[in-house]
Amino acid sequence: MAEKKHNPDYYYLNQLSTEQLEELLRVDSVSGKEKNDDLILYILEVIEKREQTSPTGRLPDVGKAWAEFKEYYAIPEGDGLSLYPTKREEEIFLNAREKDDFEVQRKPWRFMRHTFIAAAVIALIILSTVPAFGYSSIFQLIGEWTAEQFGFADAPRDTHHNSETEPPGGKNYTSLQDALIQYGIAEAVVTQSIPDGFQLEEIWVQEYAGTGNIEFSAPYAKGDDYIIITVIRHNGQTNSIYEKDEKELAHYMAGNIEHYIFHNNNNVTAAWSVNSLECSISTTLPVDELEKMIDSIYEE
Amino acid sequence: MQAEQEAFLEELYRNYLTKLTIYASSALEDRSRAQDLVQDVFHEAIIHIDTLMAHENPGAWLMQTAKNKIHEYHRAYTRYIQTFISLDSFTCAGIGSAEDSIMKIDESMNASPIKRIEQILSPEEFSLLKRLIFEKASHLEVAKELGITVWTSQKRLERIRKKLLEIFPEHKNKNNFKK
Repeated sequence: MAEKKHNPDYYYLNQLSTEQLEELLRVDSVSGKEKNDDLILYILEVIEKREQTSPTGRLPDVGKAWAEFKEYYAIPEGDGLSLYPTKREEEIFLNAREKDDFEVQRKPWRFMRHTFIAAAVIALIILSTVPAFGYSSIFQLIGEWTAEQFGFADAPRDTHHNSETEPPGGKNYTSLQDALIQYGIAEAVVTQSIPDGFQLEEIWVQEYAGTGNIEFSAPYAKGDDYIIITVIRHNGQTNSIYEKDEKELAHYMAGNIEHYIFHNNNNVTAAWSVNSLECSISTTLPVDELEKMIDSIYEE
Repeated sequence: MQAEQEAFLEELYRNYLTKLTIYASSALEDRSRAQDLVQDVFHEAIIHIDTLMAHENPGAWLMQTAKNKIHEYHRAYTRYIQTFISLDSFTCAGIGSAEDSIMKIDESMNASPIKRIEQILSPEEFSLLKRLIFEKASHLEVAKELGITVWTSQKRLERIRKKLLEIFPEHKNKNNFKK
């Protein structure tokens, strides 16, 4: 279960609070036999890392627990017994046909995985509504933030982008830029320079029927490091909220656009808006690498 | 256990205790019972140590076992609560969450079903039942309080369950105390 490469789709989960991640775990524990092992492992690792950085008492003292295990549980009186008996469903799990069963269950597992990711993304979007604040120009939204959250205050939309869009040309995209073009988006919002060694995992496009918003995402991975470029075309008011920690938010100007850079535990995010597009780059890399990626967006 | 098996178990324990505890704590919303359940998962690993050592993913096995135990714990707990409520002529169909049920039980501790059970069980048995079911204490907590082992705590709870089944045989048909 440990030391494996994670699906970049899960990186969104880094932006959820620990309490929200725990709620996903609780939902998984009552959701029956669906296999979400990779996703659950990812959530557990996120919580574990956060606790190691900023302990809140969630993590057990392993040495003490091991001593208790040997003193109170692993004693002859308990031979063959269970404190919390099951119907030995784990025997099925140990069955030699496990691999076949797993293959059969891939479809529902995949469905659940996407359901979880969608839930996480929706949680980001609907956590709360940012009150109207103001904006510096008709094309840019103003960022609002507290010690724990960042979001864009609402602003009027560029009417060009409220009009009907070109239908997407297909489901497979060669790049994020390709996907944006197929949806009729021509603004310069995609970084032209990705640090060496990072591999694009997939281009993810999600249309939200309820709001009319469309989200484009391009996750890149290199070992445990990741870069996620996200573009959301809003069809109405924006109410996205990003989790952030207490580190001071920084402003970074490039292409005559203000970029907001903020941290959340082990990752750093740059967020900005252009017309009806809300854009962000989240990464585990240092801020200077992030700034280079931002600069490359506006290079001729 | 042989030295090789014990070393394998300890490595598993040190690698997965934290993750399993985080998962169980979220599921049970209580750290002490979560730790109790996770210790039981590793105790289960002793029983299956040979199979587990040959397993291609022992961590996944531990996680699945924890999920099974959590699932069964919720079911067994709900059955206890439903039984106590049905003894007082409540309808099970109207039962809300387990927490709601506990509220009802707590509010009606002087009502006849609890009184009946209190009369049937010895004071020690009633106290144990109250700690483990109504107050959701862990077996380790009860063991330390009473100076007994966790396995004695579990066996006593099992005896209480059988005693109640004998006194209230009508609940056999409802599977209320059945595992």
